[in-house]
Amino acid sequence: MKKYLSFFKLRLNIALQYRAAAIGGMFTQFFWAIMQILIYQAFYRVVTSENISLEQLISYIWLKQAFYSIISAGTDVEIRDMIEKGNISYELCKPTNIYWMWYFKTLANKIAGGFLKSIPILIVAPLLPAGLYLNAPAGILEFILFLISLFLGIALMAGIMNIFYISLFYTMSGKGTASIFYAIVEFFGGTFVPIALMPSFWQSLCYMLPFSLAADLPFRIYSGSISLNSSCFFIVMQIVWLLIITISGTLITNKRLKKVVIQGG
Amino acid sequence: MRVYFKTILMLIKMQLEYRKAFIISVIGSFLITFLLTISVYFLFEEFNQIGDWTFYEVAFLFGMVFLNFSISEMFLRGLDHFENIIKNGEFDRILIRPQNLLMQATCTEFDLSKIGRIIQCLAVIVIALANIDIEWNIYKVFVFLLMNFGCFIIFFGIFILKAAFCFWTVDGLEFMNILAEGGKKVAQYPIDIYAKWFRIFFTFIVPFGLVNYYPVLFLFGKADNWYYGLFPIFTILFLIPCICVWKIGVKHYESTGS
Repeated sequence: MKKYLSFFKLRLNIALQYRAAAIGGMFTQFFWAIMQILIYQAFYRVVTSENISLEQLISYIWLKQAFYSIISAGTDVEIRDMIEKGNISYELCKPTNIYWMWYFKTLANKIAGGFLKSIPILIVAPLLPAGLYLNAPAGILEFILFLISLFLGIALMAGIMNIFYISLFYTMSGKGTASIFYAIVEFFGGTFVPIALMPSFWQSLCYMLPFSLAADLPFRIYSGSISLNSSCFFIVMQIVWLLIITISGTLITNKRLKKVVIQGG
Repeated sequence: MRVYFKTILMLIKMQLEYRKAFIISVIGSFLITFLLTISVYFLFEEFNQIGDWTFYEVAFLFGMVFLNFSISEMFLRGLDHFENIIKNGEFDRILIRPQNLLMQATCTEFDLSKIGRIIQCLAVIVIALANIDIEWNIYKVFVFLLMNFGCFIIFFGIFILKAAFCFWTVDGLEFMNILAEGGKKVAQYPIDIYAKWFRIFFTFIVPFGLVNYYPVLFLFGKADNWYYGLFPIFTILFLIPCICVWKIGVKHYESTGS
């Protein structure tokens, strides 16, 4: 366990070094959130959605933006390069399980970059003028469930990312596979359009898949646009998916690593 | 110009060498835009309209903006990834060649995989136009082409600005994405749906309003002022400050890398 923790620490330090990038990123986040809110305000002016009110949606947008880099499908270029250029051979020499090593690497990257980015939004967004601000959670119970599901969601997303890295052993095209992967995760995770605004068939489809459980569910729970009963049900689903992904991930990794081909020279 | 096309041709051949990777990239770039289109459709299923704009009208804007953004990404990839050229010191090599600097920087890369996106955007535009009542005449066709030209020019300016920014810092480039990615997203919807300060910024500073609002009003017959159709020409004014910043940047350049 100690060696995984030190991977975690090392990554955290690296991610914290890019301060200028972080400030630039902060402006970008605020811009994105406000722009989306303006668009949805225009939509809601004519018709109101039955699934989610405008206020709930605004909270959803802020939170999603705050935690975006943790629960989005940004892939680690370093691991991609490792597989494409052959440095994987060094990685294989290390006396650790490669699945767990990558898992903690991804997790640390996401958490270090992500929580830092969430702080400015969580401080400023509640103070904005009416019609733009981030609401308080729907209730104490909702807030606790939100924290649990967010934590599970992050763990789940890191597992999904790992599956992606393993798939690179098969396709060998980091850029292309990453963009297909990105498209699927973002669409089914509710980034292109919030799941609550999709037609009902698509909503039920999305909530069966792990992407929306990781990237959409926590924020819906916070905003209170989903009942407590179904929140609990979906949190159980998160745990089930986490188990499925972790077990299948480790199995595939071990199987694939037996016949891995080192690229490059 | 001949040098430009020759370089581009080489880059295309290079990408076709890795066939499997190329096909996967095309599918990837196609899929993202396809799912984005579906997302817009979903929103209109739920809400029917935005302001007084219908689904097909917004789909047309979406298609036009993404088409020109994809074309920019395809041809101007070198500017988009300019920080790499600065970081590894390759710009020194560019400086000693007797060709236009901007042109050389542009043709360091060419991303053919965006072709998947371009085809899909064209399809969206055709489907959208087929479902909108427009009395076509030669002038309106001209306006349509001019809108696309203007849209491309804006992205061209933004990409130059983004590249020029690299002369000062290669960190914090995410900020510049507000203009490129953000502009792309903003311009998907006619700008009259936004708040006033937002509208002013995207008309007079970054002139998306000149291509996705005024000419569209005329094209769709929402306004009779024929001169609205000529507004996209003024996007060329946007290029002037962008190129100035680039020129100042080149003077400011100090070599890095080894």
